[in-house]
Amino acid sequence: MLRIESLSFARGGRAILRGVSLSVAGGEFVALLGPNGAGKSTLLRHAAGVLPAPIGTIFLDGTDRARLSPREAARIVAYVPQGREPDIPYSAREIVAQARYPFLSTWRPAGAEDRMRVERALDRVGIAALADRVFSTLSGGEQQKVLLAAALAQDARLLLVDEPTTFLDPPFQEEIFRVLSDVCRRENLALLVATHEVNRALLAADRIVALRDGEVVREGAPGEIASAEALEAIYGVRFLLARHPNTDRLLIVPRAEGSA
Amino acid sequence: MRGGKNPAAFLALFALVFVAVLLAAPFTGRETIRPGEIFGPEGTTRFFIFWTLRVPRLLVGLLAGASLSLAGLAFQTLFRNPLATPFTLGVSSGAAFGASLAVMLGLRGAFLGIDGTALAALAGALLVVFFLYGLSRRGGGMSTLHLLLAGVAVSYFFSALLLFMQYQADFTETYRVVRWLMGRLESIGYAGSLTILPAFVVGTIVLFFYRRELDLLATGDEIAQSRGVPVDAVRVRLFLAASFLTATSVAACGPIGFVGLVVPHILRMLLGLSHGPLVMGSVLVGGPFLVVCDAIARNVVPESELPVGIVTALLGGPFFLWLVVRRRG
Repeated sequence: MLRIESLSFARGGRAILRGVSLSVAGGEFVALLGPNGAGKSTLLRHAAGVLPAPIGTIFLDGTDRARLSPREAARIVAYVPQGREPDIPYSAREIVAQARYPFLSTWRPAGAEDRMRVERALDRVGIAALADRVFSTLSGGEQQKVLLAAALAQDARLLLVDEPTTFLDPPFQEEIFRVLSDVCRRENLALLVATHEVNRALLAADRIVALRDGEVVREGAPGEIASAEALEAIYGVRFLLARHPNTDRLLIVPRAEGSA
Repeated sequence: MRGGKNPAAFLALFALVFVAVLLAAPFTGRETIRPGEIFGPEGTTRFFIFWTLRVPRLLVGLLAGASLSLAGLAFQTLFRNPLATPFTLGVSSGAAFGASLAVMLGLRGAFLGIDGTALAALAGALLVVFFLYGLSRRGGGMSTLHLLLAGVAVSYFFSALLLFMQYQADFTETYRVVRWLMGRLESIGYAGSLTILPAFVVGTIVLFFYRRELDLLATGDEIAQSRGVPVDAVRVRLFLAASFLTATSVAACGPIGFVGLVVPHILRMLLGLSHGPLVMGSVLVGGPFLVVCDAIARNVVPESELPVGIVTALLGGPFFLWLVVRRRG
């Protein structure tokens, strides 16, 4: 659904992405890991088309993104920005309804079908009760859910999600990842999620791609990434790993004070 | 909070008010005219007052009021700033300077059926809009404060140029320009309406056509782009439309302030933030608003006619302050 071939991008003389290639298939949950400044957001924003065309090629559903109109691209790919949006003056329902844009025109106004999809998206992420609240009055976690619901209402087959849990408390984080995994499996969506939540990525993702300094440094199944050596290559720090009591997967744990 | 709004009911009400103003305005004033008198005989004073003075004045008021409201609505959304209007951004000053320059230099004639003065005003308006837009894009956005300060600076700059021009010109010409700069609707005949009409028609169609894009631009550029809006191309078209609306109004009536501020804000309170109803509301309310202000201007001082720009400024100034104070709170 998404294939990126040797994507490079520089801003202000500094290379942010250097020849990154990756792909995400339908129904696949790919987590994008990497330290701050590794180029995760830039990569997502290029795939979403909100940054000017870089060097390299981005294929959406087999078609070069550069050959698609913004509207055509928006029917394939939806983007959930980081929850640090400036104050949006609209209500949650209005924001989600706006996401039907790529399907509407002067000759095809919003109809019952569109309204049904809006309500379904609101339900899906559990914010139907907040639908009439103005975005700027919602908490960080609720705002994140509104943006996710809007992306779902866009009916795209590829979802690009930028750090969905940055400002959220643990239950909200859990819930966002549950919704993401759920839509990925049940609706066969291709999912590329940039995150700092290493453990959630190790548990939820089918595959992990790790960026460092604008390059892919590791790529593989969670089992391959969950090693002290691989994580050190990504973050430059030695992590302590322990097994999850239910799944037996290796996860990172914080070091206890004073231990080696 | 906005869930209970019913834009359709309000728009129906606005349409009624529009029709009422349209029917009442030309009959009322110092000289009350009865409906029977408007069909002739030609040559009577009242026939003349009705068809040569009042109807043109009503039309130019409806067109200028609607155009300035639409321009204000568009600027507020495009700059994502509730205090952006043709007047506060200095777009009106730029247009006024262009128009005055054309008048002073004696540039007459028309191009593609558009009045030469209006074209000069358009050039001035576009210069200011794209200058401010360029500034606001630098360094990824511009705060309300900076945008308004830039607008004030632009206004001062063009006011100084206007003063310089007036200083150079002869007395009668200067008096005419000063009266025009106060913003007035008194026009004899239909020339003013014909200046605004093309911009009004095109501007209304463009804004209504791009109503969904305006909603998304008000939400945010990146989100708009990711939903499939070609943001840069749409924004340039909307800036052109808003500048065209401002420039022709200024060319016909002078820089009338605060209509583009007051009307869109009142409409947002009543209709919500969806641009479809807001564009329709701007047309239905903006015109009658200016016509009513003009009626006040004509009648508030006996035996004299205030320029309508003074009335809109007296109403709009405090409203603007209220918005500023409320935003801080």
